[in-house]
Amino acid sequence: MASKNSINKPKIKISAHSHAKTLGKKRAARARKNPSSRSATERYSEKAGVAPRPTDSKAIALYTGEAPKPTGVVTNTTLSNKRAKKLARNQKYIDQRNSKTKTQEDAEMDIDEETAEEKQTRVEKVKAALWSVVENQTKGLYKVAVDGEGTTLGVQAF
Amino acid sequence: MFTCNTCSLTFPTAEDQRIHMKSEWHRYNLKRRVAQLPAIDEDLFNTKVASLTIEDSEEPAKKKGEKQVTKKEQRRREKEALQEKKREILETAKRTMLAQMRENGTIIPQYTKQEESSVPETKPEQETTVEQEVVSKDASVEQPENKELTAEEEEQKLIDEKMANKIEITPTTCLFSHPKYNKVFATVDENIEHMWKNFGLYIPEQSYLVDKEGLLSYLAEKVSFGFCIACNYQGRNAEAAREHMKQKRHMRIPYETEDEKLEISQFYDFSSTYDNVPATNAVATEGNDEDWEDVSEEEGAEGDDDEDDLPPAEQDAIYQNGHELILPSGVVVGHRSMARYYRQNLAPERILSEGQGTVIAAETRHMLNVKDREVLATQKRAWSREKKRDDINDRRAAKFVNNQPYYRDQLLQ
Amino acid sequence: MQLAVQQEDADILLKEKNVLDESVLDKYRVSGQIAQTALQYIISLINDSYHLSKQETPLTVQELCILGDSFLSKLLSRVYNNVIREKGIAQPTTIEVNELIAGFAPEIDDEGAYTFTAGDVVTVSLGAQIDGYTSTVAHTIVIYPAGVEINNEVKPNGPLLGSKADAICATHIATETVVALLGLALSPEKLPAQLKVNGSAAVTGGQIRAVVDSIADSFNCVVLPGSKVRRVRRFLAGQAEGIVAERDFKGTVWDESHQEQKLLQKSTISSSTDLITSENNTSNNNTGTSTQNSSAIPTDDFVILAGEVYQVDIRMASLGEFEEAGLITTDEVDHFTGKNNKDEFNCKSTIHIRDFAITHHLKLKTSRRLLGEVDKRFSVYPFKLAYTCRSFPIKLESDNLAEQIAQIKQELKTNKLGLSELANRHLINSKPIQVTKFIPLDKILLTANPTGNRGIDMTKPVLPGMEVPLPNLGVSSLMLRGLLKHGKPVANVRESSTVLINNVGNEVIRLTGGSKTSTPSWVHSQYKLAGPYVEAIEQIVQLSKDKRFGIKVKECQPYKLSQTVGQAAESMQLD
Repeated sequence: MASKNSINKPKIKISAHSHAKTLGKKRAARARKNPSSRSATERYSEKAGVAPRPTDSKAIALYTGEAPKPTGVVTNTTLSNKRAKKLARNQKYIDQRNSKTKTQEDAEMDIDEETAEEKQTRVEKVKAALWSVVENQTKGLYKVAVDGEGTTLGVQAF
Repeated sequence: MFTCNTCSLTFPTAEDQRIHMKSEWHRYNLKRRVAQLPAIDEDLFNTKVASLTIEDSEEPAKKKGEKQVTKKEQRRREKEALQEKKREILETAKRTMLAQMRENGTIIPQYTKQEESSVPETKPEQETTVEQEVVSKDASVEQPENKELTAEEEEQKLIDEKMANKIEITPTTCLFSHPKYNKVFATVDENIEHMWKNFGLYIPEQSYLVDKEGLLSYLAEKVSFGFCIACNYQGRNAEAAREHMKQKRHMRIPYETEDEKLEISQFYDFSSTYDNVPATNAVATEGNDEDWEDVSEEEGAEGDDDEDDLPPAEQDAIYQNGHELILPSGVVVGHRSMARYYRQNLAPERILSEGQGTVIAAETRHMLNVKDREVLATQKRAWSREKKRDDINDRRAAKFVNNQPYYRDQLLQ
Repeated sequence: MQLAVQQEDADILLKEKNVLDESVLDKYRVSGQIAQTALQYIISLINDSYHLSKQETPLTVQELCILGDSFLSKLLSRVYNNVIREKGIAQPTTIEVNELIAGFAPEIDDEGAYTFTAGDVVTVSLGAQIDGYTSTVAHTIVIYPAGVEINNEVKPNGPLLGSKADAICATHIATETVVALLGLALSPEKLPAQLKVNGSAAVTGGQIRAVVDSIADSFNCVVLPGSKVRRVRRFLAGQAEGIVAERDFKGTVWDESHQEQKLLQKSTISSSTDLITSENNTSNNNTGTSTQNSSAIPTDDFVILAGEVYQVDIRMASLGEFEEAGLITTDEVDHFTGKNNKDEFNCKSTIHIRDFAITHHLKLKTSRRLLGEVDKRFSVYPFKLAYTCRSFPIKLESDNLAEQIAQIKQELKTNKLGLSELANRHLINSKPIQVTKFIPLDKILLTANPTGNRGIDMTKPVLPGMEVPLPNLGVSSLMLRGLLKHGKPVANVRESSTVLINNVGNEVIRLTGGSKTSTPSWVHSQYKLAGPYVEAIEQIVQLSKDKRFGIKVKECQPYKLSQTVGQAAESMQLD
């Protein structure tokens, strides 16, 4: 795709991507070099290297691992077992909630159409059945009963 | 210093120079210079002048006022001289006639001199002929010339002239041919036939024509007086009229406007076309058929007027709907605001036989309606454009897509 | 272009005009008689020409067709003059031999030597319509070799034997049974108990299918695709089948899918019956009892009501020649020679029909004239180009038949040009000439069809809803067409008649067919009627013969053929 003579190479896209990447690298280097305060950070940054707000939950930060590394040796951020279990439980509930709505949506939709796989399997079954018919026919299982008398129609006339 | 180079003079003051410039001598010198002759002295000039004036003494007026007396003036004088002579002749003639009259004892007619007023307008060549006419044809006594003639008298004079010029054209004579061909026929019908075939003279409304001879004699009279029957040309005589008609191809009887029709209406009888209309309206309804245009023209707005003109019979009333008139004949006249719809030319509806109708009614295939067709059309156009773009791209790519830089042809071809 | 008919008019045309009152009955009867007479005429021509050897050169198919059409036109011109606007030939005379099944009516200027040989089964099919009330008939006869003289009459030496005889027997019995069943629709209480479903006595489409299938099975035959027992109405007698999707189609139609189902049922695998797709089931089973089905797709769940006219068209072919399992399907014959480097039977399709939904402004004057004439004279019925010639119909009584035919040939040349433009603009569709071919099942099963299982063969006229011939296998009609190269021709037999169920007079009138004109030829089949419906069939046939307690099936008698017409065969010394 990316050969020199490729006529549908997205040249502009590629160059834009590489430019964006270099910009990102530079930005990361900048951020590393000058760690910023929370208020100065950008919206979608990790906020890992930044001091948390006083109102932020320290327990969740610890649980998820987003808590900033303690600069000193002494730290007083703890996560009690009780707290940890509570967090785990809540997370479970959240997950359940999210997954449950998805299946409910699925259940509401009427799935009448057979999927391609089902169709394929059915056709294969049919073919198998018909192959058996072919074999049986060659074996002579489907012979129609011949009557001795037979049927005569018409009279001896044109 | 003030000089005159032409005359080689000098003057002390400007005034003197000016006076000299205005003089005859200076002018003469200028002319001499133009003719490349040397200038002359004043004395010499004066002597020249004196000698010349002596020569022109016999005809001082002509030499001096040569420019004043133009050719026109000359001609006028000649004319007047001629007139003088004529007057004298007339005087003598009058006197002799008077003498004769007195002898016979008849009344002397008092005619004003109308002939004389036409004389100055005509050219000198014609004066002789007029003179002859005056002498030979006019039996009246000429009054002393009175140039103050009234309009009526002029008209009368013209009429008399025309009467004089009249040639007899009978209804059986061809109106247009020159008399030298002598196109005289036995019957009026033959004449009509001849004029129709040769000149294209069409008699309008022949089926209602009652008095053929009368019509032709009327036309003949017109021509003989020198009038053209198709336009308002007035010639002096029939020959002039014929010549005009021949040249302009006015060999038709006009029958377009009301007046033209009325002119010759006395020879027609349209009473059979009147339907139960009292005689008073006969003239008005005569030409009605041609005036009405019945197919979808803009007569609707004038509905009210027309109703006033119609005879009072109710069965012939015109019914006026807001946008159309329904005439007694059943024809529907539409208003111009609806002209757009009246002027439509729709394809005629397909008349289906019963079989076709049945099959079509039973059919469940439905063709695309207009909306879908448009959508489909745009879709198709989009597809074709896309295909075209792909083709162009392919053609461009074909140049280098198969580029194989390291290809080794084993067969070395 | 949307061409629609007003709703009130549509109601009148489709409903009121189909109510059987006296005039309508009369028109049906007359059209039936005309069709019967023409059939008799053609069969007599064939007999004279081939069996009784009254001529040196036997009549070719072209000559038979044009004679039949002229005869039909002559009869039609005698009746209902100045009373009705539309009458004419509803189905041009077609004569199909052996494997040909439909559409074979070569023009008189076709140079091919189409004659019959001994042992051929020949199907003669034609139809007449008066004011849109159609009667069609088709009958298959056997061409015997030279006969023996018995009692001063020439008679066939022996009956026809073999698979063709099986097919003839099966078709005849099936047709008679179906006609009797239709007759029973007037008095359904007389139905045999076996056919009464859940106690309700009604003749349904499913019953018809079951009975006919059983008859076919017992004679080792297959009901061919294209067979149908359908209701006909005024101007809607199935003449424009693939072109117009008729609303309220009421009838049982046989298709390749039914053969497929049969094969599946035969298979010993237990789950085979479940494999039949649900879509097939709902369309073809006889569980539903709805009689109001306003759809163009034919289903089986309809009830035969009195006051309707049905066309019974049964086509069968015997499987006796083939040891292997397979399907019989129809292939198209066209006029392109040398396809696949094979020397095949080629003929141009000559029957055309107007498609009213299409309008186009034509360039040629001849085509415009032709279109006007087609619209006026033939309207919705198929026609042959010979009908547009002024020398048609040829006067059968006169001696100069050859001259008249030569004149027709001359006029055909000019009309062909017009026809080509009409066909190019799709204003006129031509009915294809079809042959029946047997395709072995293993060839079908071995074909790969990963994609393109929706390809539809547009040249094959099928009823709407039946575009996919083998839905269970997922084989499209285009694919089946490709498989036809493995096909072997098989002779088919066809019987068709129109039956009118009169609710007013409480009688069943068999408009065409019957004992007078459609007697079966002398055949002997080795099979006998068997199967689950044997008793029911016997009862039904008994009822139809029983005049007092049974059903009355009246038959339309043909007119008497005059001597001169019979002599026409003799005078046909064209060469």
